[in-house]
Amino acid sequence: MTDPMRASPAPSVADAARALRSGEVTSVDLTHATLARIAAFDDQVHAFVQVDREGALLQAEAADDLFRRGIDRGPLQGVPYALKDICDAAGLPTTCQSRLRLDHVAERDSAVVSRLRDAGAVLVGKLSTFEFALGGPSFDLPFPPTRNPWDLSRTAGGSSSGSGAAVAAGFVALTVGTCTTGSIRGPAAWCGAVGLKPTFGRVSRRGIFPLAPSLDHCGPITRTVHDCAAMLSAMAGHDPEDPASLEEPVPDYMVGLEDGVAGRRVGVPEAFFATSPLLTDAARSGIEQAIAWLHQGGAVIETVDLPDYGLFVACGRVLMTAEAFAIHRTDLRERLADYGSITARRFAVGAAIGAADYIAALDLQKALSRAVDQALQRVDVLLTAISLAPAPLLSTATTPVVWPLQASTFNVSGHPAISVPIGLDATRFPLAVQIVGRRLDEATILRAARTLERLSGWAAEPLPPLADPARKTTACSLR
Amino acid sequence: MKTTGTSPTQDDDALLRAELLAAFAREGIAYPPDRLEEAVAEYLQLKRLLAVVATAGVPPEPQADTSR
Repeated sequence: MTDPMRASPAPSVADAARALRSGEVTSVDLTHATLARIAAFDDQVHAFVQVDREGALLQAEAADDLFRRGIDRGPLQGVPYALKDICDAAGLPTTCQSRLRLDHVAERDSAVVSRLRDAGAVLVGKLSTFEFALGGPSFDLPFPPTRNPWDLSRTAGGSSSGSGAAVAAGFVALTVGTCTTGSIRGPAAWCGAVGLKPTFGRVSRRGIFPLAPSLDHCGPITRTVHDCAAMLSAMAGHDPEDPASLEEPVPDYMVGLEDGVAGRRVGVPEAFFATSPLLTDAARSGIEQAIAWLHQGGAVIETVDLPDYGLFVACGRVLMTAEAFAIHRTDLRERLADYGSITARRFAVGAAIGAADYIAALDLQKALSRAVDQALQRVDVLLTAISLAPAPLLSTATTPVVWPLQASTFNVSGHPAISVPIGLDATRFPLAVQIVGRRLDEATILRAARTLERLSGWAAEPLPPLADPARKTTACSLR
Repeated sequence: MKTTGTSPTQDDDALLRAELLAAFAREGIAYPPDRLEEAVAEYLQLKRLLAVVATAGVPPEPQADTSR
């Protein structure tokens, strides 16, 4: 008989919060169920690089104690979550999926972990990533690459691979990811999760191993839009120890989440994706359907012009490569053999970028940011593509490839952007779209995403089944 | 007219490789020879993107006065 504790996927924050406060479950119950499901199924997915069973149960007991004493810190109290393994959690290794850091134990929580701890959330473990958030997916790293729960032969995307996969596998409803050129929205899109890259500086990067400081963001990857809003509300806020951190107050992103999009102007930069040779018919239909749903919700749709998509890609790549090289310069000279082959290649070529090239990219970044600002003066949000095609098959090849994603754009410009699932293609692989907002207007993109989630019916879509080794079948329904 | 007897593409590849190796040498990076082709392919992609940035036509941001 299947163990009931591992049979059910992790509940959403809304469901967990209700059950915790009604006394139906305790945080210890939820955490035991989470740990059991991970133990049963993660050998298929490889979402986790470390599970902190003892630490998680201590945190869960503390959360239950708070409830017993009548202390309620909000919707995340007592709810399990997991953390991308480039983010520090005191007492746990931050390996960055690299042989260079297998022995590195964090002495202090990163800012996001500190905030989530204050909110009473329960950290269950560290999640798989590309090496230093760039080099992957690869089989020559200390831990295996994450597999996509929707199709285990495919990548979960990256670099927040484990974050997307952990949500799709039903291990947790909440994860922390990071994003430099699309590493939140890419895995979210390919894993059927909600992924939000906030405004640059909205969430502190303190305690997160940097890839490219002018492009790095931190944000949630979650099961639902409501969960995303709840998590962002806890994660966001000023941190004087992050030089890029914004001092703007943080609203409660769950307020007004059901307000819809009536009267909102939605801009579609068609030139970005309409003629891309990578765009499948299914992805194109998905975008068209999303536009129709927003129109159905009362939004006014119009085409907008943005600078050529290739400019954003070029700008982002040059900035990322130059800054990453600067960070890894010494280790590339002294420990090149300890890097994975993809990581070594992608970092080392930064040696050939000169100062004039880098400054030209910075100037271009400013111009592109202004152009997006100007477009968002005429419309409230942009709706555009994120995944142009399904995730590639996992491969042992290490040659450079182009992935069918459009995500780096808004890392370059710094605007908030959310990937929201809208359905499945004919092969039952997730489809998603991207919604972009004005700086610091995460609330509006969350409302638009919630509208799509509601009209698409996505929240009712079962998670992909994972084979239960105890039943010795190839697939089973876990609901 | 070229007198080397090599095609323009081979000359371009050789130039690319030489540039990359010079950058590695400058930084003291001993890149494994058996993986160099992948690095050259990566560098080719990067060069194309650098050219896109260089020709984007963005005027430089005004700089502080350094004439003192």
